[in-house]
Amino acid sequence: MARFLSARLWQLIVAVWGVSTISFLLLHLSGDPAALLAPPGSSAAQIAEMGRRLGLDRPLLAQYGTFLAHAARGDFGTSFVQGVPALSVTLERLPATLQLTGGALLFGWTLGLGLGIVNAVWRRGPLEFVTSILAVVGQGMPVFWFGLLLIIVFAVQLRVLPSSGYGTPLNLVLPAVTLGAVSMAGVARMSRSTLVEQLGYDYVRTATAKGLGRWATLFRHVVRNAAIPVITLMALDLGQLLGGAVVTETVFAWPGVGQLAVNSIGARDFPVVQAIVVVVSTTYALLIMLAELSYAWIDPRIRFE
Amino acid sequence: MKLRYGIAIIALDLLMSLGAPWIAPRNPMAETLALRLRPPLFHAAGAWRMWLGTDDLGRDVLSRLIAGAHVSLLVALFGALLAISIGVPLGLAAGLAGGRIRSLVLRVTDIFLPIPFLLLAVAVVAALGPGLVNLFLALGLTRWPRFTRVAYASALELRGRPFVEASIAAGATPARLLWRHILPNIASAILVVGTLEFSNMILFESALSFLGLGVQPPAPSWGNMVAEGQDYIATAWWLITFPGLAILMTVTGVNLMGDWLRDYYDPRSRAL
Repeated sequence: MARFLSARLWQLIVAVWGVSTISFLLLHLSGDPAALLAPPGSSAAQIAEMGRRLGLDRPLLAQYGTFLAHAARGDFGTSFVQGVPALSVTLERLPATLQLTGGALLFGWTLGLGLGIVNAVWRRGPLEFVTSILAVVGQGMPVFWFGLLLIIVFAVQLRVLPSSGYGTPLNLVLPAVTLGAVSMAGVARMSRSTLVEQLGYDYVRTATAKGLGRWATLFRHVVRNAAIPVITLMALDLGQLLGGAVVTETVFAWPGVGQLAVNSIGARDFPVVQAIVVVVSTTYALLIMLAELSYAWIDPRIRFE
Repeated sequence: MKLRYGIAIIALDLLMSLGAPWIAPRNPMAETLALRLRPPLFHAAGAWRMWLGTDDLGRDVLSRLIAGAHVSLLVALFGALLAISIGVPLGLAAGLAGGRIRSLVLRVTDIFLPIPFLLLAVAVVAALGPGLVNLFLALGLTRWPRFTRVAYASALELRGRPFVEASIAAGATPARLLWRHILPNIASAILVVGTLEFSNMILFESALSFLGLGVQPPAPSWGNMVAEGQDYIATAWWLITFPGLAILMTVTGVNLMGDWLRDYYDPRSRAL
């Protein structure tokens, strides 16, 4: 276990290093980082001066070394817009994004698993048709568009839910449903096929033969066995949700990291963009690691070597 | 069913995309302020010849949709092709060469995995600046690892097959091996993933354009049409509804086509 953990932590560090490198390279992708970092409307002389002051005229490798040394201490530079460290600007917004992602996960997964279970138990019913339509539509629907449709229906027409804002549980409903809908489709499809596969195994017949009821078999035996592929999907899905949050937060004016990213790009606040790429990716990598660790808890046969 | 719907949608898209200048009923950029915010034709207040209504500048929504198809599909197509041309050679190199090349390629691919894609694409566009070419660069440069993994897995499996070993033993040059044995055998897998990835790219392009980082107004794209219609959602529902439906139908059509291709090449996947 300790060996597995240390190997996994090492991988995490490598991943964070890699992501930081990508985020460093991003700034140099355009050719002239000083032009990106200078406030909009700067003259050529001001840009050159800015480049000298930030050491951007030094060799690329030297700059990379400095960047890594600073990034390792959590220093991504100062936000131009707010004048405070870019990292703290980002971390301030992280709870809102995690709240949104959590809400979306809760909605998408409760509904998706429910649909998947019902479909696996009553196969070839009318619900199967509905689920397959939902799955196809859910995968093809642009997140931002679905969000706007929800706003039209629930905020503009029915006036039952707020279209934007942050703080109360009511504010969370529409954004979470918007973001979660995409996961729901995939989860319903995946959990159904996993459960159908499990229902065909001998242990199900044994449980039924000894007189265990249908639902007891399902929840006591089948669901546990089906949990691992489903949790793997959940971990992968989180990445999609964190990415989708960029769009959802813009639609609903949700004060999270995604909205910050879009605003920072508009304001050319590049240190913040770099910090966001690193922070969000690290969060995601950590969550994937937690999912892997949960395997041993769910399935006692799994031992980490 | 999957195939028919998929082909119908793709044919319609291709027609719109390639024939945009000829079939669009009006000039997509022409502003007629006298006819601004007219609802679609089937609505009581609809204007004749403005089938899907007009936007806030009096531009014809249908014509803009058709012009937008051109942009969206083009960006998605080139984005997918760029991702394939970066990802597949890397995957093949890793799978066939082994050793240091393999571990290097796999490490680099792993690094890209934990980065939420949309965030990375947003950051790339931020660095390059918005625009059509940068948009497809952003899509291609961030989506290649998926192809690397597919090509790597297939190449690794093929490498151990008897006909490949026989060909190596018979003295086939690497180029011949690649061309005659490896590429034909991974083509179907790449085609399936490429089709599904193409539809993802349409979604990502629309998301980036919606955020104002992709196709720049006044040029129409499905994503920026939704963004422009956002201010009028209380009064003019048709401005966001139709471009969204266009995205939904196209992506669904391409996905069904991809599903059909997967079933066709790998009948085992059809069972569940």
